[in-house]
Amino acid sequence: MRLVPKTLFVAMLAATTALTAPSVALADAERLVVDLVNEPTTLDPHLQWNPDSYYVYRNIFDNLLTRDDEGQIVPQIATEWEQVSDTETVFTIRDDVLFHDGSPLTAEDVVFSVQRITDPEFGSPQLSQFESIIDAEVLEDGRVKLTTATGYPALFAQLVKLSIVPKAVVEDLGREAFNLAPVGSGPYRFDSWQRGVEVALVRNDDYWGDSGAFPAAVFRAVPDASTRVANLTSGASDLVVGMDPDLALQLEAADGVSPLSALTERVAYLSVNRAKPGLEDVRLRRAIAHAIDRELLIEGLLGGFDNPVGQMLTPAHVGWVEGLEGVPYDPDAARALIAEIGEPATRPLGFATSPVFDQRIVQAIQQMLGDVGLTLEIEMTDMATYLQKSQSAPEDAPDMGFGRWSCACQDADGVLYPLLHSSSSWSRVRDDDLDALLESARSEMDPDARQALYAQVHEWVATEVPQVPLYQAAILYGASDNLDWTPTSNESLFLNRMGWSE
Amino acid sequence: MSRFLARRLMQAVISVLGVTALIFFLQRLAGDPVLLLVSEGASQQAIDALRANLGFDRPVLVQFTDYMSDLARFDFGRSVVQQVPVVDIIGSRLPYTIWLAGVALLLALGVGAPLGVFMAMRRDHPLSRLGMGFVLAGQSLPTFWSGVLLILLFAVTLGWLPASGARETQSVILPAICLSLLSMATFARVTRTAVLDELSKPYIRAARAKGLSMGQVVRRHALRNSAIPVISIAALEIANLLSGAVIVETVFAWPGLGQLTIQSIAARDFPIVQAIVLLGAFVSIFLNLAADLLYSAVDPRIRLEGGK
Repeated sequence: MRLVPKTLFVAMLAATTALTAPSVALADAERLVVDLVNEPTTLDPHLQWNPDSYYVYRNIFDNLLTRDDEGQIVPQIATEWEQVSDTETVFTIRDDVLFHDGSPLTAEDVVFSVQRITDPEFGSPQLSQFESIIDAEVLEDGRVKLTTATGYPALFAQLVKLSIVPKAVVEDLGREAFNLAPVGSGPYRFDSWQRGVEVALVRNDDYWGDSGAFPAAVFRAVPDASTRVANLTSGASDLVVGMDPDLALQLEAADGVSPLSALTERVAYLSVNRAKPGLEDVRLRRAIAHAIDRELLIEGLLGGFDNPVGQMLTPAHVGWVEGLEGVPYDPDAARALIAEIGEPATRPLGFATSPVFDQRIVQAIQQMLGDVGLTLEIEMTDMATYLQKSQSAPEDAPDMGFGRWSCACQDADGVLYPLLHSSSSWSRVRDDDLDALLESARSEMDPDARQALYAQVHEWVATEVPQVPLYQAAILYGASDNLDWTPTSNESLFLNRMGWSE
Repeated sequence: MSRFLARRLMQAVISVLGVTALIFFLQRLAGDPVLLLVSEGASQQAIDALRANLGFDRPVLVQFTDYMSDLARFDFGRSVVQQVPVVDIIGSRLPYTIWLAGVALLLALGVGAPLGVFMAMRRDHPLSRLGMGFVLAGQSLPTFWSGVLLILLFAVTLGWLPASGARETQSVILPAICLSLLSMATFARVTRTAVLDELSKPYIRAARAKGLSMGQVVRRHALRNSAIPVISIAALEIANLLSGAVIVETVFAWPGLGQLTIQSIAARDFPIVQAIVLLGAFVSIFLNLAADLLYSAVDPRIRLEGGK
């Protein structure tokens, strides 16, 4: 008996020859190819909160407001708005917007979108961002009135993420079908979704605004960073996300491609738990802050892309106060404080982290604190466990932790309230005066007065050191030199703001 | 034979039920996916609302009985992250994994087994030594590294093949080569040993004495007898190819079950992980059964317990 019949050999040979025929479809001028890390989880803009979905669906849907490339809040579906009282805002809605199915976008759709995302039973992962809205209604003159529970100056910063969905289509299709074939009013229409591979969009030529340079765009899921780099350098993609400083260097050296970077509204910080033994002493917390050389972290490990900060915000936030240095790098002062404390400073401190974060930074911090005589024990867990631990009561939470915070709203309220207010499960701080400050700042409608309140919060943080602000994180992309695009702080990939450079 | 089958099927049902319960409770020991889904700084009300919406606020035992009763109706639930029925997601991913593992198995057997026979017949040939070097390399190179090398050579430098995805037919070539390397080396090594073993037996000497050429001896006598270890290895290798696909699929962005498994575990998408584990349990039980049945087909001396 022959083990492998001759015909099978011939068939295999033929198959191999057929398969190796060169027909690698490269990116071309008609189609922009973007490599993401994962595919979107869902394309219903109200049903998820993760970057890979966000990159895609923001092109399919319009928002009530948006941010321009300078980060200013500007009209999108709402042309103008009027603050009727501290808690009521009335928006005028564009009358020339069509959904991709041809139906007009109306004030009813706007109200429906607000009601849908704020309905607790709907279970939107973004509920928290819009919770302050207690009522949405269409007025007799066709405008839309939004009412908040209290004065809420961050409302507009949140509304730049409120995607408007078509009421009739959502009600008709139901949750599942809408998720698989979303209908929006944005500059790009949903075309197809090959599960696990790619989502294809086509340009909406009936768009009311600028629909952009690319007739079509494809977002592909490529989990491995070196494979994304290979795709970019071989010309199979035009834009890749999720680059780190080492890969950026690699891209700088390659022909025809370059790294692109933007400073985001993500702030990297160390949390220091005041409820744990030894750390209740402010001197130890200050010593920790003194021991950290932000410049070295950025220049030595982060490729110089990031920006050191001395407050728990970034210049991209409302509430950022110019010129605050925070606790300066001063290892000698740290050593002196530790010597003064004596015995209680010798306890090894747990340092919570997750593989999501850059472990070189975590280890460098461990080293820096080691240099002034403190012992840090890195406690690495998966992200879900890390989040669970950071949600526990202060006395059960880790001694210290590394974090990168983004509220995606560029407003101090989205950072400082959850991290510092005693009612928040993300906070380990319990301080009545600080609570009062944060509450006033949350509802203060006068911008200058609000800024002054946040300056006091920054001062409190620099004195009490419940956190050590480290740096404003940069986001790194890789792009073909043919692509003309300037990334912005809000980490959106708006296709209609990109073009070909030739 | 039928008694053997019945007993094996009983064992299979018990194993699958055990695996289901184990994975269900183990996953929930670690918490739920709600915190991974909400936006940073989400209020407790928002977290509770989503938890209730996804049903994770119910006691674990209630969740388990609901899950089992759904399972009895072949309802595998919905992905908590993608909000789509699990069956649809797995159904869209499974063909890619089968296609990739199938091509890799063909490559591994088609190259590995003949190489093994050659190395056994011509032990001192320089190509045999090269073959042994290949076996060593194939067994020791980690796929995440050999994968990147393959991409650099064939996608970046030469530009012959796509580095990732599954858009074109030829997309499968690089991941299949990468995935098959280890199995190819295993097949070559096992085949070589098995053939060498047969060649040293007296009946081979008798066949040679009868005047048959070496090639005829190997083709007519030695190969069939050396097939037993290769078959048992093949069953193991299929399981290895499926689990090896986890890394290879990630490196090559191949949209199969392996990549889905990694992502679902990280995202704590319990219903998907449960369904994949169930599927894995079914496959490995079936493969073992198939290997047992094949032994008796190839070698009449082996009789299944309960048979005549």
